Amino acid sequence: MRCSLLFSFPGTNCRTSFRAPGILPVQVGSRHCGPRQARCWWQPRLYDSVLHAALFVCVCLLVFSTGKAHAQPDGKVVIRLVHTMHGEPLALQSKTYENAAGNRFVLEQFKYYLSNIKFRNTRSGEFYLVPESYHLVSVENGKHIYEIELKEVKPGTYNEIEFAIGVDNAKNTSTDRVGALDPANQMAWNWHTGYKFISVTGKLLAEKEATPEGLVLHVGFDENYRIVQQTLSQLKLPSLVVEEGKTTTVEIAVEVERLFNQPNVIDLAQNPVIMAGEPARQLADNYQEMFVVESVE
Amino acid sequence: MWSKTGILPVRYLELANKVKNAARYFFILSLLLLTASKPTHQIDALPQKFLLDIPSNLSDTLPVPARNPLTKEGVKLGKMLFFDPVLSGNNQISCATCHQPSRAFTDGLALSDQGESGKPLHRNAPSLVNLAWHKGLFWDGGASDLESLVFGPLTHPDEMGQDLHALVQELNEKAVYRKMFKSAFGEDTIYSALVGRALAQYIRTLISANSRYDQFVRNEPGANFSGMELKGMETFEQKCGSCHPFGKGNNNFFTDHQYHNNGLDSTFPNESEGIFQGRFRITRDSTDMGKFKTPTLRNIALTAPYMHNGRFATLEEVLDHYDSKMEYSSTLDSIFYEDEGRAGISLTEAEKEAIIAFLHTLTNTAFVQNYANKAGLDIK
Repeated sequence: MRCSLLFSFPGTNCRTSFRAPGILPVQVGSRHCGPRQARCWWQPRLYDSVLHAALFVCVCLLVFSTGKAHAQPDGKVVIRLVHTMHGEPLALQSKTYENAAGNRFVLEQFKYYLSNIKFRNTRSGEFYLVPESYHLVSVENGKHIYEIELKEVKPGTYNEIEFAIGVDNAKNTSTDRVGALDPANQMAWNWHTGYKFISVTGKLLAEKEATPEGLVLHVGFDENYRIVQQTLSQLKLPSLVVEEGKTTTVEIAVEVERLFNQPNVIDLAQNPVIMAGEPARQLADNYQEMFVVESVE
Repeated sequence: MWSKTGILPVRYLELANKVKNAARYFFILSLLLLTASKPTHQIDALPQKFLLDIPSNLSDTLPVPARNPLTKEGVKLGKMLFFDPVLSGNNQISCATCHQPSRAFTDGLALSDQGESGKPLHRNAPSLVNLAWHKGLFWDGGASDLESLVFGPLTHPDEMGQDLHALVQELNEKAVYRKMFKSAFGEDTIYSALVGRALAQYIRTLISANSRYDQFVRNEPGANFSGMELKGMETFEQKCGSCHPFGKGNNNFFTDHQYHNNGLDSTFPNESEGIFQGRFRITRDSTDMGKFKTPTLRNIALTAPYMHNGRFATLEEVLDHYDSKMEYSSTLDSIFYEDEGRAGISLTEAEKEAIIAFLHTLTNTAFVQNYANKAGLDIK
């Protein structure tokens, strides 16, 4: 029987008991060495030290590991969303806009969820999924550019960018969530569990009546989740190269007039309030078409 | 120069000795470091699992989502929040304002106007009893779980009219709440999702299955039904049992948790975001037009007025409706069509009286009294 690892201390001789610094002597037993052995049965041999060292390394790894999946250092990507209406910065509560159906309206709120951002290299198959990627994009008065900062992006060369408008089904079935999906952000419905994917409100200016009608576009539910895919080479743009310590900006033009016009012409006079059904699906098909990557630098 | 074992030279052996000694010390040191470097918050007590006694004739288990198990601290916190008007925008309305324990968590009004705006609602406040077993919540099943549901009444301008950013700020300013949220969820800061989860935990404990009927069906001593009540139970089973099932085994909810059109209206206008269209506005399936959830009949004697918009003040009116006042529409439940093609459930006056006598045995007085004095479940 070998002596246990813990009870081996330097300077032990062939004894039945020993003293370690600060610890009381412990009786190991009355067994003693045989005459031919250089070391006693309870004295550790070289392989014990190797075992100790290995254990120490393992413990260190456990205690100090950060759980990082990849060994390479990370880069940063900024997604810059530039919202325009007919080529001009999108203005809220001020400018009157007209759509293809001939409706005239003023917008007061323009918010939407952009989620599940992915970068892909379609040739090598390399990809990067941004973890917990849920962003509530909001245009404010005087601020038509919204930036999403992505830190710790896996370095690589990516020629395709993908993201979704809305919240995927896994997260859309309950709303007790945090961050961008916190119900305090007023994007969760109060009568049907789920998130509004877009929240666009304003006033519809009628031809004859004096009082403008309220415009409420609250589109959500799984059927209206839309994925936007942009292949950079098709857009005659360079690939997105992510390197350690470097910040790359991807600028995306968000042409808001398409929300009302392409591919479906939405007549707001017929449907000033859109929350469900066919009009909502048409809006979803339209908002999928609002986004075009303009530059990668 | 060779060692006694003859395997390695002495120099190596000395080096090996040094390595060995160093390794020993480092090993012990790392063990000490490991135990000493434990972050302090891990030493705090975890919330304690809350074990509920569910009456045997109701269910074997309580459905609880994995992300929000029942704990003593969570239930206690949820109860405190339920009765606290700080949850509303004007700090005057609590959940209990419309869900009063003495009325089995209803408010005795057809359509409440007690909300912040003073505007009457379009739906009657439902009883909050046995909700853990419901798959869809609200009269049209629009809410998928309690954790998500609560944000509806909390923020609606005609109900509690609260802004959740303002609410969490208010709660974070109160030391009592900070402490209770910390022990229930281990978080230093309170945020909306935790408010929802605490309330959900409390609401799941509102279990009612100890009425005279339950004692009778469990053959408990002293539980006797009068002749009228027995006759009522029999008639009820025949005439009402398909949508309001009960009986031996553990289907004693008195609701099938499904949606039916029971002939209250013949048309369903789409004003007010489709609130008059029942289940249709959730599923967008035209066969669901005008269908509403079968409510439980437990404590029905306490939860007047009746139906999704509280249109019947008494149980007599309800039975009169089923007997002779049903309205036709394409989605009227086929179960109401009798042989002659007329819609309704034929009931004689004697049968109506007996059914009502039976329905009164569904009142769980102990449940209502326990919660009425705000004691609720005895959480030690």
